Amino acid sequence: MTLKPHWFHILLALADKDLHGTAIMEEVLERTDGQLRLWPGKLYGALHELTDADLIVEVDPPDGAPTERGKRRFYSITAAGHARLREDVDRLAGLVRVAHAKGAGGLA
Amino acid sequence: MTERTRVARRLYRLLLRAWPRSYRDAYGAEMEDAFMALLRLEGERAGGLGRARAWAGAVLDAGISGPGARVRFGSNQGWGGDTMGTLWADIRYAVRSLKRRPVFAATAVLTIAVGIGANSAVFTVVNGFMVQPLPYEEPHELVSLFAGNPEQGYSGTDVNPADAADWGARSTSLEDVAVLEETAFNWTGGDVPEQLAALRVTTNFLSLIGWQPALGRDFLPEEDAEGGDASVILMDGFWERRFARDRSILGTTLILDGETVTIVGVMPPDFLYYDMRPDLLRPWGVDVSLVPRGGHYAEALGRMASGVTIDATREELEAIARELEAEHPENAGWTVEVISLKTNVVGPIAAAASVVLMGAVGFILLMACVNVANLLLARAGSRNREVAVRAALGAGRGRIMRQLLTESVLLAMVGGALGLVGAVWGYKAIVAGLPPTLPPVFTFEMDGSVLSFTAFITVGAAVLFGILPAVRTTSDLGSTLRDAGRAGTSRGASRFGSALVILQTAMAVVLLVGGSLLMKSVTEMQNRDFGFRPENVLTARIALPEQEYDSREASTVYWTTLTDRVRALPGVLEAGTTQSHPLMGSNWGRTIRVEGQDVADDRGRRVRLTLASPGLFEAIGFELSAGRVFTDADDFEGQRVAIVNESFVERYLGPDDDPLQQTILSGETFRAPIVGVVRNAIERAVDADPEPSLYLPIAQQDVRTRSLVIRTNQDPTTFVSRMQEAVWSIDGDIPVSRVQTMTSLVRDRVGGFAIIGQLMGIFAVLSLILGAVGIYGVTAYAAGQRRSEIGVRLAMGAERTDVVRMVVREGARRAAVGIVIGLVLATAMGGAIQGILVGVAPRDPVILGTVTAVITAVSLFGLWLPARRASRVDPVRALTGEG
Repeated sequence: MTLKPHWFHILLALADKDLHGTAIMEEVLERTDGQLRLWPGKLYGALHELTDADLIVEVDPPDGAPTERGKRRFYSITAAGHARLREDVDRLAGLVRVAHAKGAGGLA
Repeated sequence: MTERTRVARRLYRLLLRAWPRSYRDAYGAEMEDAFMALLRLEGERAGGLGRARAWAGAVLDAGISGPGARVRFGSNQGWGGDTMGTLWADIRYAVRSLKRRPVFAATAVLTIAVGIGANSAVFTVVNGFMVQPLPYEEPHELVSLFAGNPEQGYSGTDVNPADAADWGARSTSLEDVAVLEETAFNWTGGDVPEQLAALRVTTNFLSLIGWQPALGRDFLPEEDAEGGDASVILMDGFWERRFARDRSILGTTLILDGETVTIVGVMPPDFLYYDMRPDLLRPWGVDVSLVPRGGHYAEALGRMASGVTIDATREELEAIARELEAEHPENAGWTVEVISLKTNVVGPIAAAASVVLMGAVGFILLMACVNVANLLLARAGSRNREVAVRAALGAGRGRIMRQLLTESVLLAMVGGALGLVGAVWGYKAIVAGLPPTLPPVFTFEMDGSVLSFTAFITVGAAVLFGILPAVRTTSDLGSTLRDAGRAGTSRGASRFGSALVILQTAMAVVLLVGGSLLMKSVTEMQNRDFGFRPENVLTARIALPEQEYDSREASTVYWTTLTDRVRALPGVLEAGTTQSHPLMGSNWGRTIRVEGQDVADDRGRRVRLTLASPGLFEAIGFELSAGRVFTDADDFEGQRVAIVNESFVERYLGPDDDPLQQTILSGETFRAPIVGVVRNAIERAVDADPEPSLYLPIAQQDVRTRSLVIRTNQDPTTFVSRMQEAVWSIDGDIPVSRVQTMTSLVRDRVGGFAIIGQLMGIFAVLSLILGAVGIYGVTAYAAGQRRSEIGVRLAMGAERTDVVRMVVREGARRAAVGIVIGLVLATAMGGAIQGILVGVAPRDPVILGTVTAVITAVSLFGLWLPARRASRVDPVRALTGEG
């Protein structure tokens, strides 16, 4: 089962650091060159579902991070989340290899 | 926090109410922050449109995720317990109830479909023009730079390359400036000689816009120097057309104008530099910062440093332009103009048309909503009983309203889906009608923005037409049942109906006036007296290479020989040459003086310049109003002579001056008596007014690249190959390019206006239909409400014609108010669209009068039909409240 695109991007955002919701949204927007907008409802719905699925977990804010008077929740990816992300990344990498072998994509 | 952010936060908090309270308490503050961040980022990326898109997205998000959360969290607040269950029940009930009245349902769905379809179709096109970013890296940082000279009335003029180089070098707002010039080269060595369209570029051009060749390399910085133009990069189209995508051409050579150049790269197929369609790119071959000042012939493109605003850039560059004025006498009076590349590419017509057309379809949708609201309202009367029964069985007001709104949303969604299907066809039809001269950088497709927009207006429409009837129906549940569902003749309902009629009449007036103005404008343009006769005229561009025709004499001999050979062809009535023919898009100008006039005036004596050979005036069909045309005697050795147009005479000569006694002066030595006056011709653009023009004999100048203009006695397209043969019979290496008939040139140029006119015409007719249906509906409903009263009147002996008169009179008053409001609005709108009107005043009295008459007639008809029906009621049945 492939991850839903916005799940994938949220997990990817959390892959190397713990972030709060707005930061996740900003990171994904930046990384996809403005293409993937995580609307608040969708974002927090997904964070809730990802937590339920044990792929991410709510954590204490990193030291010194601004928490906006404690209203900011920080999330961290779990081991299960890492595994799930890796599965998807491997699958995508496989696809890219096949595509290259078929001569698709840039003039490699 | 600014006022704007505060308002935005408050609005978003309203949206948050779509989520259940518990969820809101847990995540609301964070969601609000996330949205504010998104709003800010979208605003930075795409300005007002970006913010609008963020809001549209947030509304959709609330519409989808909010109820979703309610289901998952099983909230007991707001919309009630078993949300999903009741929702399904409501939908099933709505479907059943709509099925019971298929005519009502079909009418409502179709009306909504028309409104939403028109909006989606037009928005798809507007989206392509205005919203989609240009296909360059960080396109919002790109600016077009022009030269301007307020004192002499120049604006948006080409730039001097050395000036542009200085702007780039001295500015901190601009990271980089590229300088370009459109040019052409004769390519020999293929099967047929070909004139290639080329772009001379500074070597930073491609990196500045963020592209690189798909094959080979970009230009190197050292190729900006003298002699660096020995390398070229091919465009994909040319590579495909002449080299069949052969990759081995890299490193091979071409002969351009007799010079050997090496192909170093090939651009990808999707690369476009907005309105230019070159075959290849070539460096300037000189250091552009060293070219002489004064001449304005190049284009400049700048990239602003990240985070710098266009106003700051403009301010800085204007200061630099003042420095340059002080340093170089040639720069006196010249300043710089900065506009975003996007604004430049879209152009003023498409931008104005986008606003006008979106406004028009917005009105159409509003009218459609009004009609459906009206239908629902009429139906509400007949549903009172059903609603009352449900209320009596224990359904609360909120519950019943929700049921009614579910029906509205269902109607809107079916209508929206149908409209979207129609819009696919619609936008393709619009795009097919866009003129071929449109820059190819725009893509028109139903992307996410279009779908979000459609979803947004669908929900908006449902709320707009659903909410008032729903409130009205449920406003007085108790009394309805007591009255046994008889009347529902609340004063409020009829007042609401009146407001709808007035609104619709006003909108129909505005759209009809707008549509008529634009259609008349297009007709004017097509049938415009251009001052020449475009029928049976063929034109072509021919460039003589400098290497082979290295003297003025050689070129003159060539052009005379060619004109003679073409004239000798059977069917050719006359032929001539010029440096640019009318509507070609060229804009040569000069500043001149008139002998004997105050010298202080001479800065303002700006003229459009056309160089003409003998025969040209007859070939194009310019009409002489005094004096003579040019002859073979007006050659290089002959006396300098000039012809002017009537606009020149009006503007620059005194009322008593005989033009044929005047002499034109220019520079130190140029002196030419006026020998002829021609009628004004439209030469610059189809929507331009005639301007003071000066015509000089082309043989007295050195012009290698010319238009050949041929007048024939039959369809000029049949002369194309004969003309080419005549050209090649003199020199087989000379290419013939841009072969076109004058009629097709006029048609292409009018094209952009024509599509706007046609669309506005369609919208005007739609608005008339919707308006008529609306008036009929409201009147029929109001008359139906008064059945008992009419019955009493008839029973008391009133004539049926009295009843008709009574019903019509009341409606006519509303229509009159609507027409007056509409006329006021239409007058305001006329000013707004003035920029795209030609040959018609925005307050054209004939159009205003005709529209008033048409709307009056349609309104009266819409009133008379239901009035007549009302007058035919059987008094007995009306009074007993049956049937």
